[in-house]
Amino acid sequence: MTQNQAKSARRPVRDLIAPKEPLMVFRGQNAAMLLPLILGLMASLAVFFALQTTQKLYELQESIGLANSELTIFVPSTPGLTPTLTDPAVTRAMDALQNTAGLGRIEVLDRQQTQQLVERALGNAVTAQVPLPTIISVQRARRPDVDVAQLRTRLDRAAPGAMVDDNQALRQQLQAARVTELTKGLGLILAVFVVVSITSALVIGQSVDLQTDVIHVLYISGAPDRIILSQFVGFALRSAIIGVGLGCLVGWLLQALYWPRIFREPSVILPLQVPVMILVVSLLIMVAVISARGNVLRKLKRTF
Amino acid sequence: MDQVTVDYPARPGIIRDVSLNLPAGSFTFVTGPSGAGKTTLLKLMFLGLKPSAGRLQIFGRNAYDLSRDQKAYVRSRLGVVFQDFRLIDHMSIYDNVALPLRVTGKDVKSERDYVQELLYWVGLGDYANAKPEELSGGQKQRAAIARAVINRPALLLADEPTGNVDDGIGLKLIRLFEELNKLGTTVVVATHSESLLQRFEYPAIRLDGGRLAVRERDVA
Repeated sequence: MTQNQAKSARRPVRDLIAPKEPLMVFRGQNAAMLLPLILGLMASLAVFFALQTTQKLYELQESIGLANSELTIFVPSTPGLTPTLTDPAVTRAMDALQNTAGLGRIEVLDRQQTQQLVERALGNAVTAQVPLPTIISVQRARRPDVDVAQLRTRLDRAAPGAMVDDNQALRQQLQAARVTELTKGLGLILAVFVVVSITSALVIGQSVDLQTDVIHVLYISGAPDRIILSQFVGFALRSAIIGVGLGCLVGWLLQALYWPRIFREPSVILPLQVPVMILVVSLLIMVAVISARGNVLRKLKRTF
Repeated sequence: MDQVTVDYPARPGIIRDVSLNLPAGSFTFVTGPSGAGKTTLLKLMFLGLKPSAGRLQIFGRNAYDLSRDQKAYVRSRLGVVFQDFRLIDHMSIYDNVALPLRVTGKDVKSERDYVQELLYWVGLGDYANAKPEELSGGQKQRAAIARAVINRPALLLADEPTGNVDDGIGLKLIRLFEELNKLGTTVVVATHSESLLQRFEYPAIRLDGGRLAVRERDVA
């Protein structure tokens, strides 16, 4: 024993400020020290996937909202007349629209806009061969909801051959895309959760093996399972909070690079992202701790 | 202990049909050659092992009907001393000795004087802040004894407590056990040291090949 050690050893116990080392020390256990890092990596992936999914769902929802809110009416040209409001068929169609409940702004596209739209859809050559229809863009009011079938009948009576496009096909496509995105996102997040659960259980399980001697002493000293369990659960919880917290930050930054809209509209986007991050972080911490606890308990029951 | 048998997968019959009764307040040696089953017998007594057959009662209760929490409570009434001390390296001697108080939910702070008194009793009063690595083998064993008796155990089990210390220290350790025994603690010491057996006139039971071979001196 060195002189310093002897001096420290002989200091009266009353001088100590409540000497209370932890029951277990995890320093120096490589796998255990890697746990926050692994959990951090997994958390950054989970948060990134979750925010990506949120972003896609939000944008799809925006598109669905737009598609829901607009109707496009095509009124075929009356032969010999320029497709404008002077066309009686267009006037009758406008009257019918104005007298329909559940519609908001009604706008007739001018000739140039119409030509651009038609050419974009069908090619440049078509306008030379086919007379341009009159296109009326109609905003749907939130309430009352317009009865599209009834509107079709009324328009057909007012302007025979008029067509109403309520974007049904587009909406169906968008809704299908929403389900796909949600499934994909949840699948990826679930995969990360599985990895977190397995990693946490294995790393803490290995730590139990390394602490066998201390556990043995604790048991023969009369420690119930919960005392020993609390050491490992506490370590898993600390690792998870540090790792998952930092991982969440990294995941958010990555997602912000993909979706810079957050910087333009933080008041719109943050209320979407924050609850998602809180949910993912809480679930990750919970999964890590519960998996660790389960494996420790299983090992304790098997070993002593 | 009633017709207890213990089989290890690699060594069946490490304990065979052992029946034994240790009265409260007794002092008993368990002896026999290496591998005779002494450690296994003690393991059974501190509920660290489940017998393959037979019945074990401790403090009047069937040991293997107890829940895990009840077993922990029973262990809190036991003190165990090992040949290799089993002190926790990162803790000071004070914390090692106070460990049973801490893990059984007692207030270590209010028991500080008692812990210190016990450290003086085993001759380690000045070493409260030392780490186990700073102590000699004999000092470590005395710290382990202090830890084993801190909860005022009803039963003290010592597995070759003198195995890693010289004869003089070994004698002092057994004297410590005697003092405890006089205070009412039941003491069981497993040893293969013939000199200890000859020196102390306590009942001794001999194990050989897992069987209770001879009662060298009758257990009271």
